[in-house]
Amino acid sequence: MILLVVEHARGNVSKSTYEMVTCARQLGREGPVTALVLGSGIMAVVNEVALLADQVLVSDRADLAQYDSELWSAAVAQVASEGDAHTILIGGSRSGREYSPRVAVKLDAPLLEDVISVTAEEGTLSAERYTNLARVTERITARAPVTVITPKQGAFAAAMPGTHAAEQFDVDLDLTARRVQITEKSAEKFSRISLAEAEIVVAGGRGVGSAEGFRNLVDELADRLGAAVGATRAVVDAGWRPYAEQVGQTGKTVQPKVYIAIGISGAVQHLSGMGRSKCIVAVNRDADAPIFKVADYGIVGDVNQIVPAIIAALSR
Amino acid sequence: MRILTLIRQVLDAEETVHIRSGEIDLNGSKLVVDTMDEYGVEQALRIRDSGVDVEVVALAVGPERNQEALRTVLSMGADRAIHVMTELALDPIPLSKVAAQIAQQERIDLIFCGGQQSDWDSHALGAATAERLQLPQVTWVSALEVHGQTLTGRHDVDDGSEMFSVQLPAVITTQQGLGEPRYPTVPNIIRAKKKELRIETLDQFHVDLKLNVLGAAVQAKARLHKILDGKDAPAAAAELVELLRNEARVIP
Amino acid sequence: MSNPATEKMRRVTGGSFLIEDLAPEDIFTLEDLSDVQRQIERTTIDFAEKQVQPQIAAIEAKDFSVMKGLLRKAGDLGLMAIDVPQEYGGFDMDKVTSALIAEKIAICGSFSVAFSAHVGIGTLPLIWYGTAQQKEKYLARLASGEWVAAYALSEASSGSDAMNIRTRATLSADGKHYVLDGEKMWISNAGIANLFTVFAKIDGEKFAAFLIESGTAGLTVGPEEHKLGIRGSSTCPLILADCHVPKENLLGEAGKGHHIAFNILNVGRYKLGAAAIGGAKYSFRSGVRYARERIAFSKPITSFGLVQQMIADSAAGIFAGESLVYRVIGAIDASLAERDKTAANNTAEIQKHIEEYAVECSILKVWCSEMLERVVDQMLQLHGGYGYVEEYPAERAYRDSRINRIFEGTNEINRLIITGWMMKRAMQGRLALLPAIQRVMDEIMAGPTPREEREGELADQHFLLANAKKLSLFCAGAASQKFGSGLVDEQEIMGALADMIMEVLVLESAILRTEKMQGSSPLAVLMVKCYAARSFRVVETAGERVLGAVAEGDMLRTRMTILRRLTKHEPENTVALGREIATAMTAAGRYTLQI
Ligand SMILES: Cc1cc2nc3c(=O)[nH]c(=O)nc-3n(C[C@H](O)[C@H](O)[C@H](O)COP(=O)(O)OP(=O)(O)OC[C@H]3O[C@@H](n4cnc5c(N)ncnc54)[C@H](O)[C@@H]3O)c2cc1C
Ligand SMILES: Cc1cc2nc3c(=O)[nH]c(=O)nc-3n(C[C@H](O)[C@H](O)[C@H](O)COP(=O)(O)OP(=O)(O)OC[C@H]3O[C@@H](n4cnc5c(N)ncnc54)[C@H](O)[C@@H]3O)c2cc1C
Repeated sequence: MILLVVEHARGNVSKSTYEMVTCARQLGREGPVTALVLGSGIMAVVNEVALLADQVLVSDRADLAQYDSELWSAAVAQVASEGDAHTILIGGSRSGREYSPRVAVKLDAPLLEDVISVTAEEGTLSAERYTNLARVTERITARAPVTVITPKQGAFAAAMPGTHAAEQFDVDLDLTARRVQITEKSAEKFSRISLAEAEIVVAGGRGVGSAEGFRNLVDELADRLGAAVGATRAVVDAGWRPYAEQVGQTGKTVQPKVYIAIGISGAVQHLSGMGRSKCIVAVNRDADAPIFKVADYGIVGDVNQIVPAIIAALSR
Repeated sequence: MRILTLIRQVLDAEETVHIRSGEIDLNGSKLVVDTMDEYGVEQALRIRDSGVDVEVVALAVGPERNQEALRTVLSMGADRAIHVMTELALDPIPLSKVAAQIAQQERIDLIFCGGQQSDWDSHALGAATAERLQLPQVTWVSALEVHGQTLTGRHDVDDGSEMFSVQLPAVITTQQGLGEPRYPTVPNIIRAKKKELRIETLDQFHVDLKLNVLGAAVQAKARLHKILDGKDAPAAAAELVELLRNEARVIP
Repeated sequence: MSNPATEKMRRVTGGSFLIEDLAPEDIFTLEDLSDVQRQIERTTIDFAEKQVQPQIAAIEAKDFSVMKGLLRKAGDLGLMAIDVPQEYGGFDMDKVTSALIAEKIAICGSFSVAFSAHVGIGTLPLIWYGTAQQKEKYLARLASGEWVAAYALSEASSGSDAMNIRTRATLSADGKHYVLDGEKMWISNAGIANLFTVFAKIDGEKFAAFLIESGTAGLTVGPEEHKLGIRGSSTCPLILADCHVPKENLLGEAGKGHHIAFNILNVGRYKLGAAAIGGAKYSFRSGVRYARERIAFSKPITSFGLVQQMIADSAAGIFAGESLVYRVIGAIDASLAERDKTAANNTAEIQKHIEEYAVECSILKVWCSEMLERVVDQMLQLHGGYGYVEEYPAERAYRDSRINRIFEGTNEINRLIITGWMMKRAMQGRLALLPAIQRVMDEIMAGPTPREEREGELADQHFLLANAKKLSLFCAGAASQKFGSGLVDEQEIMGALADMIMEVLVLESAILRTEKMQGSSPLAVLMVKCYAARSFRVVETAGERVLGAVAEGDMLRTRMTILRRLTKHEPENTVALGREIATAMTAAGRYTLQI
């Protein structure tokens, strides 16, 4: 069977789960697409998933209320071995990529990490993934009885839910106590438009000068365009913006129709998160800034003059 | 306490990636210690600098040139280094097998490794190593303190960050936010020359490779490079908006 | 500490390159760097790129707190203590290491000048001539970058003519102080320095050097000069008016100050050569990166032959320069490795060994500063209009490079030194130049000889090199036949001979280095071929200039026949070579030896 570990948050199935379903169905491997839901108080999630998968396995327990890499990997490995899964799909979220290696080690399986495509051909899985800070696409293959795959977020289309609810089974898990204690959680507040899904992203860098500059320039322009807001690491480190808005190697990867970079130098680590946007626009006063090398359109000038002028021009 | 820092030698992020006959070619390019790994080295040194009795051991697995990277880490201040020499490119799962065995042999209490590899873009090495050693792990750590056998700190998760606490032994994956890695100073470089760099062969670790890399390609998207001079801000802005609306058709 | 590679190398005498042939294994090259040297190089690169580069705007705006902060950081890394003895907190390392640092720090001209004025002319006089007490008092502070040093020799009326300084020192009535009066000009680091080495004549006669702390009464730093380039480095006049300097701050012996002034310059010159290589590589990198992004006629301009030609010519110049600089400094290290380290006066030994290579030091200074100028000019050119505005680094590099032909002895003065030094050594019988000239004359008079058969990829380049040597000796012979010791007054001929001598050393270094690489860099082969073609033209033109000036009529005709015979060769296809070089450099986005 193909085992798919459901990602969910606040009672909703995450978009990445829908993408994994597509990935599983396109794979060309036999066996039912089996969704595993781990958590506590997750009935709504189970019902939602039932419309996507061929069967649903559920472990609803208090000790699974909060994610933990050891618990999750133990649970998934146990279910996978008991159910003889040959393919295990785990979300390409930060947590998915954190516990999937543990699953791979437990099952002595290869790990196809963060893949943008994957197909099976007679026992061999071929996949593509980005490497070298997303500048390179590599083609890889794995041939093993069991394989763990994490599909890259956003790389697969979301599956359409069916009308027939799949059968649900409870699973019994052997879990030990968690060893990493979480003493405080600072969840980021959610912005109107999700960065990962937005068609237009307006992002600001250190060049906007201050948290206030960010609001007046970047937020303002984003509002005008109905866009999501992104930021560079420099801006996040300065405390002007929350981490959730960070784009780049250690932040989010986005691929919008247009990415508008305001006062961003274009460091490789930033480019690795937005370099595949369909159209890139840059405003920077340094004509030599690397961001212009990847820009389709741009203006060399001071953001404090150019951005208000753009906002004004938009209302004309 | 003994700390193991896992080191990888990678292409400097500022360098162009060269692909020749479908393979990434590092020949002639500037190679460096992966920045993410350097944060771990720095963190280990800071723990030692704070007065804790620590030995910092660096490990690299790869071709001979990796010794340059290990020398750099010794020059930063690590106490000794181990190089497992191989021409094979190991993906994180088999690589973790080597790391775990070395950690066991060396009776390591704390392992640092970069949150993401800047060549393979993988997050897996720390977790896979932890699993092999049956250790807890904390990934994407951006602040860390040691109190006796307890580690506390902050790390990034899917939707924000968390404060954590965990008992040693443990695996920590590192990233920016921790102290900026120090440069090797001239006196430390001179001292490092006398430090131990032990060389091992790969065969004793019995790794088996389950992944194959078939080929690599760079598809740089051709960009239009229509860059306007902003000396006359309103005019440039108007032209840009016009282009985005009517030429690129990306904004309403 | 030094590189084991240099310790094993054969020792060569200064100037002998003109009359002897070396094998590839006899020279030091960048490929021979030790692990330690590479690590120090790496630290310097990181420091320059991550700490200095982001601050260039502030440096250029003369924000001296930034400059001082960076100097301090460089000191913390140990980069200022390479030449400093261990007992004063230094590392007493080899000269190749300090040259590598000079090279890698040279990405910003202003910082580079401040740095080298401090570690070189600023600190070296104290290291070489200071008493134990003086070193105790100042050296550790200079080596750590806590204090900044400056060297004050030039005056408004005496720059090249430095022996003619007018600043006077007189012993005070109580015999406790020297009292200095006069005015110094163009003093690098003056505005930020804590310690000045000031040259003056005691009683208007005895040349002497004094260590003067900033803040000493009677010492005033004048206003900053408004300069063409290196605008972020401080350059000011110094006014000494009744300036009381404690007697114990006399540096070295009274009456021997000019030795201090001039011996220091050898080091300054070879380091300037190394810094010019660094500046050229940096300028090259930004030029090539610009060019490959710049689209004209719907193509990147790097696809145009004439743009490629600029890239290839610059790259070949850098390659030759690298070969030259590290060969010479490696030879100095090899010589220093042999010195008697137990000698009572270790620093006198060091100076003697460096002074042996004075002619090579001058060659590094002149040749590299002119190579740099050619590179920054071509890199500016391929920026088109964007090269002419401040938004791009090409403009600054172009301005900053210009000073290198002026200070540390103008290139005219150094050209005179090059030929003059060779002549002097020959006269003293310390360099077998005269027998060598005789041999060449005899060989030539015996009529045409078949070309010596030689194996190997660089056989043609070896042929050019051998003939360049012969032609230089032949012209030197012709010139001295005509003018005898009066040749020193025929500056244009001295200059032309210097050009020939320089090219011989450069070309030989590039060829031997390439051979020492044993095919590991096909690009090096292309570059040495390109460079040899250009170099040989320089030799030929200079040769014609000399011959035209020393003979006429039949004599001139005979000599020109000889010149033609020595210069006859089939040209390389430098167009094809250039394209190949440019393509590789463009792909790399910087100067590289790997295709
Ligand atoms: C291991 C690692 C991981 C990293 N991960 C990430 C990541 O995920 N995301 C990320 O973004 N970075 C990341 N970084 C950091 C990255 O290297 C850069 O430091 C960062 O992206 C720079 O942010 P910036 O462009 O805002 O700032 P800067 O590089 O300082 O650029 C500011 C730009 O604004 C321009 N500017 C200034 N004032 C004005 C003005 N008035 N008008 C117009 N323009 C102006 C300047 O010319 C400059 O180009 C990472 C680094 C490391 C080492
Ligand atoms: C930015 C800057 C920084 C400097 N830093 C220092 C410093 O830190 N300490 C210090 O002591 N000095 C310093 N100098 C001074 C520098 O060394 C002198 O400017 C230089 O030696 C030339 O001297 P001059 O300016 O008097 O020119 P001159 O000697 O007047 O030369 C003028 C021209 O005549 C030529 N010339 C002179 N004499 C002869 C000759 N005999 N034969 C042929 N041609 C000749 C020269 O080559 C030159 O082309 C600095 C200068 C500058 C511009």
